[in-house]
Amino acid sequence: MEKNMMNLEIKGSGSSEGGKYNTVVIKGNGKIDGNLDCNYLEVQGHCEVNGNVKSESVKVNGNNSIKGDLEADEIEIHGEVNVDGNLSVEKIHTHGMISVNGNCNAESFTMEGAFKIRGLLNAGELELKLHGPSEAREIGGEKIMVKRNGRVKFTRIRKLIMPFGFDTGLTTDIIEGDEIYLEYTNAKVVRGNDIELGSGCNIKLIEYQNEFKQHEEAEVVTYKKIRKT
Amino acid sequence: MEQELISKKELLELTKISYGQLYRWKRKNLIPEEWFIRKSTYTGQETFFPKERILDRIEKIKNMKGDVSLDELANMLSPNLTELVRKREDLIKLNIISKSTLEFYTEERGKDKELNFEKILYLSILDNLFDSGKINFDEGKLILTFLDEYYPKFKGKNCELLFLRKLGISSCCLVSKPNEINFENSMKVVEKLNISDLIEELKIKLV
Repeated sequence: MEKNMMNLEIKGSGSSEGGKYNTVVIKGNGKIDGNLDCNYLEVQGHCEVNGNVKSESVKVNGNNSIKGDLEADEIEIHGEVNVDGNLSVEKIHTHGMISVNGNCNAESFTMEGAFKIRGLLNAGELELKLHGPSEAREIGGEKIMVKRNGRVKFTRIRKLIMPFGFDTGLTTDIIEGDEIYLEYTNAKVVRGNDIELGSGCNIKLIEYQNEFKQHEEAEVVTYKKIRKT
Repeated sequence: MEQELISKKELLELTKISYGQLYRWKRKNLIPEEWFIRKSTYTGQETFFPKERILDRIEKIKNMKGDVSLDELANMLSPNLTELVRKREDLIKLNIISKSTLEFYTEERGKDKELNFEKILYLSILDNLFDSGKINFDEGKLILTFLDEYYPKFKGKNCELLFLRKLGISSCCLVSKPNEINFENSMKVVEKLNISDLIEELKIKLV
């Protein structure tokens, strides 16, 4: 990118028309009406963008909502991000909640929290630690790992408060990948080379090529091995 | 324009690629979004592909994978025009454009020593049409002026060039894909050229 680009900084409350910047830092409450193209975007607080965002690196501590597409090399989120369009990124790490209305493409996607993706979640490496109900229409990739809640201690207490279950799992139509490990997942179809199911899974159809392992608490309606031709 | 479809499962069995590879190629835009056709079946939503095109594409990716990186490959396969310039002699030498087409172009547009990719594309379109004997030189002129004026608007998009004839009068148009277009019966579609496919072929030949 060219040098000598301006920086945009909003501290407190302010708004901008968008444009091309070197770094954009928003501390407080910012509103951007237009497309944003920058090398670095940092949000501490709240930011609303009415347009597309393109940035090499994005860091959000707080809340960021984008009315268009989000494109970046690296994204780190502590808090919540809403994207109305598509999200495409090389590497994304989220603590909190992410929702995407379109499709989501990432080479590496790690998350602790919850997500909601209306379209396809396509990731090379996917590592999800769910803390709340999550959903995606379809999930595809090479390595897919879905686990529930890193902090096991609380599950017992939760069961005492809500004995009939507290739906914190993942709901999706189709999961397809090479290596798949799932916990607390509701899916219609799971297809892959090596599939392992942990507790709390409910899957209608499994199609695997090499290996299939299943936890005793996982529910599978049918499964079949696909011959390698 | 009915085309034969292939389900994702059949495709993977046939080509011996894994889900991971397919999704990776999709992420890298090696397989265009519009080829993923979603249909409802008894197991829910399933994805289908236009059979001939996807098989052809996967074959290409597999063949070239060793030599170039996926990003370069994506660049080669996308309908964006590359910033590439070639000398006239090279085009004939590489067997991309015939001598008579190049002579025709020289008469029309003068003698530039080097041609950019856009011009090479126009020439190869003309070359295709001349070669099949479907148009004459006057019609070639028509197409050349038309492309000069309107193709830049379609740059980077998937589109098709239609060459039409009705009662001996010829005309042409560009249609962005995927789109359906219907003509009345006396209109004859002489030629339908998929420009994205042509660009792909050209890029492979030129690189």
